[in-house]
Amino acid sequence: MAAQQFYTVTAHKPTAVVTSISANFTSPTDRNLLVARFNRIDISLVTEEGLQPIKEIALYGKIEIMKVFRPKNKDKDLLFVVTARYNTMILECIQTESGDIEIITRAHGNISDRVGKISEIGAMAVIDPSARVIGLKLYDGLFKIIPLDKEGELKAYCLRMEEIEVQDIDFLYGCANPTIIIIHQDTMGRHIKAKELSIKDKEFVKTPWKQENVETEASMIIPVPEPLCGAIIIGRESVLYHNGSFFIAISPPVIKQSTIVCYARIDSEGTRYLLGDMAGHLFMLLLNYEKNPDGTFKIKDPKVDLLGEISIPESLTYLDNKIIYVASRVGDSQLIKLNKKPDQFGSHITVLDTFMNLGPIVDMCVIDLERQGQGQVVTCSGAYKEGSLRIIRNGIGIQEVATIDLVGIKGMWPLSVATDSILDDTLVLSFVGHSRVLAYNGEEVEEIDLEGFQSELQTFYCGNTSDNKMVQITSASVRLICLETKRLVSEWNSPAGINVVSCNGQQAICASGNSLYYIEIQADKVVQNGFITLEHEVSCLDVCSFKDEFGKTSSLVAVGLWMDISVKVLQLPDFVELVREPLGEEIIPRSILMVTFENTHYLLCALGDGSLCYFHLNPENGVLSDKRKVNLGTQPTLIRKFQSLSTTSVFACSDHPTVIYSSNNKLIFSNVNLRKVNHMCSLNTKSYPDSLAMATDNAIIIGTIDEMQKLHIRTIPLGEAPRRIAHQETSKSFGVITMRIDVHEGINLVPARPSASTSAQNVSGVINHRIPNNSSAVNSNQGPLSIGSSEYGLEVEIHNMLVLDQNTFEVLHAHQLNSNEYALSIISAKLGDDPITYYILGTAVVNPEDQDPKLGRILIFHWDDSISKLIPITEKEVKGACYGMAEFNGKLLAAVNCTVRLFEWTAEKELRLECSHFNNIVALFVKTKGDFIVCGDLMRSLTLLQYKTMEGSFEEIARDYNPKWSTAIEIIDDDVFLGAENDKNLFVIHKDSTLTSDEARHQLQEIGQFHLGDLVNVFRHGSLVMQHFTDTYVSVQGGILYGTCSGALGLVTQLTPKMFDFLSDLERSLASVIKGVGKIKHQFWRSYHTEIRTEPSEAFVDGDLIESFLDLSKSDMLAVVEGLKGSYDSQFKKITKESKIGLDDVIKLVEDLTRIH
Amino acid sequence: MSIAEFLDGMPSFDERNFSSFHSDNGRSKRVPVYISTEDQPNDQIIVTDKSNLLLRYLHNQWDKKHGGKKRELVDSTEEGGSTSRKRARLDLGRNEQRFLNIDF
Repeated sequence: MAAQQFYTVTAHKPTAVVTSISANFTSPTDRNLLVARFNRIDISLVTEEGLQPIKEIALYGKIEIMKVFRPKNKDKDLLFVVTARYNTMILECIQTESGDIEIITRAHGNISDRVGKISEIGAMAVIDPSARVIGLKLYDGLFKIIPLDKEGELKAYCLRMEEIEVQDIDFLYGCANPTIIIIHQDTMGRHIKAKELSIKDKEFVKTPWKQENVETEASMIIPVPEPLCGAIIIGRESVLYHNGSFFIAISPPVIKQSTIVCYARIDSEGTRYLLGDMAGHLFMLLLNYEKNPDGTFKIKDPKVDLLGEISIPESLTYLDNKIIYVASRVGDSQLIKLNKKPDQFGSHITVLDTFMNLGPIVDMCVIDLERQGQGQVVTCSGAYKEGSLRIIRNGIGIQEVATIDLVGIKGMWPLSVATDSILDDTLVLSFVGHSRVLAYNGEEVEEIDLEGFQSELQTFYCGNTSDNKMVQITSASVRLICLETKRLVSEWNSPAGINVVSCNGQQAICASGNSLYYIEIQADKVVQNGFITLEHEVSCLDVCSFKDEFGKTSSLVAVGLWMDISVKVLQLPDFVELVREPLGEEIIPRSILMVTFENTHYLLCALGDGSLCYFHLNPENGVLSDKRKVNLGTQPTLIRKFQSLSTTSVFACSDHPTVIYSSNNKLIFSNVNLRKVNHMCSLNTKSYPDSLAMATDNAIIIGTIDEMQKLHIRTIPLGEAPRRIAHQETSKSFGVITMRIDVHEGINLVPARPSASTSAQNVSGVINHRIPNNSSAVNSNQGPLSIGSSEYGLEVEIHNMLVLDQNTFEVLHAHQLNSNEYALSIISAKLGDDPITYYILGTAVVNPEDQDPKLGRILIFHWDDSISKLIPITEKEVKGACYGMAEFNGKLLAAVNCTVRLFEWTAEKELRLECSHFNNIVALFVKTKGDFIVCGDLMRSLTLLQYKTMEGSFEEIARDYNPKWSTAIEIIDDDVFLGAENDKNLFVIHKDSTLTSDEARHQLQEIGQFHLGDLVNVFRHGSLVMQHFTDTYVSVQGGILYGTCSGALGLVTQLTPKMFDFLSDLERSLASVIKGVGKIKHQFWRSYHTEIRTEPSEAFVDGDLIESFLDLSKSDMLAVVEGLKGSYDSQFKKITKESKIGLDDVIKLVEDLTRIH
Repeated sequence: MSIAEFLDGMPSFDERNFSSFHSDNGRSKRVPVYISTEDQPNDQIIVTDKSNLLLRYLHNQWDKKHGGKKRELVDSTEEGGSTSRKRARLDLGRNEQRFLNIDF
């Protein structure tokens, strides 16, 4: 077997926010917002226009803690960051002379201890307000101190902290020695305690004050700055202010609904705070005081009030002028403004902007609705009220605004006929043998007769020129028409008709067979100014003017020829041949275009087979260089320039319409969500500003184009948490499991808020919860969890199965389960000989007393889309939770607690148990291929089973004996399997059948490992790009997409050994040239890491690092290429002689790699 | 009303900030990625004091009792011997260390 090697890359960067802070970071006067997302810190500047993104800093590690502090003698803030693997750094931002910023690592180091029990509540860091020390709570019973006001080495040391269960920690203001305050818990309850620290003795020296038995759910400390000092303690139901000698507590009813999780201090005196809770409520907290004559303070009752609803916050950051950044981990982040006057719903909040977040991606499926060979991903994203489905596709979206049915369009051009407007008001359409003119009058369209316009012939070009005139080029002549007098002003007749035309308004080139005519369009006449006969007939041409640096204009004509399949670049006016470039293809060029993107000139040439060759063009001498080729479609392609959002782009009209644009000086080929486009032009009318008109086989579509974004994401908000998704092609629907929160109100359960399952068109299952006064039926359906009056206000999770339309995403049906029954898995499958495709739902009955669920159900439904009805077919009780299911040779495979079970589908439409396999702790995932089954276990990694058809039983073929807490699994091929685990690693294991001993064969071998740093929840086979977009260098074999907890979408794909050798060499060289922020080594970041072992990454190439090659300067790129250890030929094959690859080869390769996702 | 009082007192760092806010600000542009290839000047290194908490405590106590003259005493007495013996145990293995760290 060939070696198995992989490439993994992030297709959509993580978006879930870890934390956000404001600071004077980039300069003493700049007010910055710093947002940490997974391994990135996004720096933006607060400006008049809003938040202006400045820089994105990627770290080699998942950010766990990010804080700012200001050292005594500094006029701006420094950043303190701790990663998940306890790499610690202090960063400073410096403005360079060029106006760019530089991030300087002021201090760095790893602060992990080899022993110690990691605190379950998570790592916490607090910084002394006078910036003398940083305190870290990483391990139970220990408090780590990093002294800050030291020269040279910063020696961190641990203090013993006798309080084991610490809920929260912070430093108090106004203390001579650094003093922390903690909330800690013991068997008696929760207490607060101030502890003074001696830096000299490295010990806690005294306890200035404490308060025992504060609220039992006290969870958050807000230290209050001077002059008040002391701290506010936030509990589940109360707010307490305490300063050691005085305290005051209130119990505001508004905060009782949920738990407060974050705060933002608004003013430096510490009187105003914002509080955010887990349900997405935003509260104000006002701590007012009066100064007594004796210098003490009289503190008034704190006031807490509800301001309104926001995204469920992870942190809140006050920016300026009542504008707040709401950072969310489980939903979209927001920019909000607080208003004095409440709106009609009583909210004081206006949402100014939202920042999309896909995280956490809980599940996803890959579908190909248009059957274009390109997948789109539908994710289950977010949690609680932020739950949503996100539809992600690579490409550009066209929002259709209007369509006109018309058949046989051969060309389209916009025109401004009204002489007093620069807006288009007319569309010229060309057909075989005739032409038509459509006028736009508001949203109405009517066909008009334009005097002077030749409508009896096919038009090849039409457009405005200067002086209220227009040019029309037909199959016979070039016509100059005055729009004021509506008369033909001048005409040039071709001696032998016209086949191919290009015109830029001032110059027209007409081809007739192998003759080329240059026609100059002057103010009031058209004049032939040049002529040439070429050796072959012209298949396509383009004329374009370039200005050099002195403002001198030169005009070039690009010509594609029949027969010899070549491209020529000629200079006007005399058709001087500058360049002849054979394409080296067997297909004739059909459309040619010269275009300038980001100051780089290109020549694009589309061929008859749907492929596109492109070159760099030097407009001074016409020289073509850096030829590349991509396949866009399968049919002859027409390429046209258009303007959108003030940038030039190119539209390739074909059976796979594509928009070509440039980003970072890379050409990006982006799919368009249309099936087939024959022609297009831009259109800018009063009713359709900045739009495109596209001709399909039988209609014109007018639409607007999305931002030039690679991944196009649509959000379907559900208002409740989606857990699993399955697509059913036959009924054009999705089955989605969701979880909603209902609240006990007396003896009824009432949904906490309206959401997808409460607003479905049809409902079934346990529906009586919806009717608050229908008390008689409630108890009978509650199962073991019957409601007592003491449970008033208790939140209960209600699970539903939703059926959604695959196109409109309307919720067609909601099937509700009992309040103690959780839906865990859903698939769409055909069983046995039954022709119907079913939705199969796996559930568990959850009883709080049981360690594992003892009961569950498998429910089978038929969604009849013709009558929009969910028909229950059958259900089967199982002895445990049905965590995962798969269709297996017409049978149903289910992972139930510690077993894998196979069910047959009988003629009576019932499930009958056929066989089981019992060797797991908890079987969570099952995937199948042929007769093989891979099962992922909660803690025992993967097991490979084979189904013996004759015996009707399972045989355990092999297993991975290294314990791993698997979170997702996938089959790569017959004997190679991919897994992700709780320690945020990816691993690949292999069944080696060539081994001789039975025992060795029974062990799955670990052949690949890689630290991703992010928790993978789901793997799915598929790809976000069309397979044929990838060309020469990279072959994508069996791409697997993954979705993570931080909202990232990534790709794992196999590499050929040749490519792997080269890319891992390139990776190594890049890792030495690029200096990691905080001086973390790339090798450390990607090394396989668990609590037990840390080993170098193996058989994986880090695509994110490889792609950063393109962000380097030319000289750094050269340094990377020179730093390669091996020698390679131009095809990246390892050779023993001197290396032949140049910088351009590497750039091209990496560009290709960016296009596989 | 407290909300009005709360909002009235909210600070403004620069009145112009957000004064001409528009929401698609910078969204279409790609944010430049920070990449450093320069070797940065030597920074401070954060290291962890690996000394045992109990030993540090005992040393502290000893110092307090015997004033400033700690070194001479440590070198010649049993204390020095016991330190080295305990140091050796540090590298024995995880369980031993955990025992040392937690059970005092």
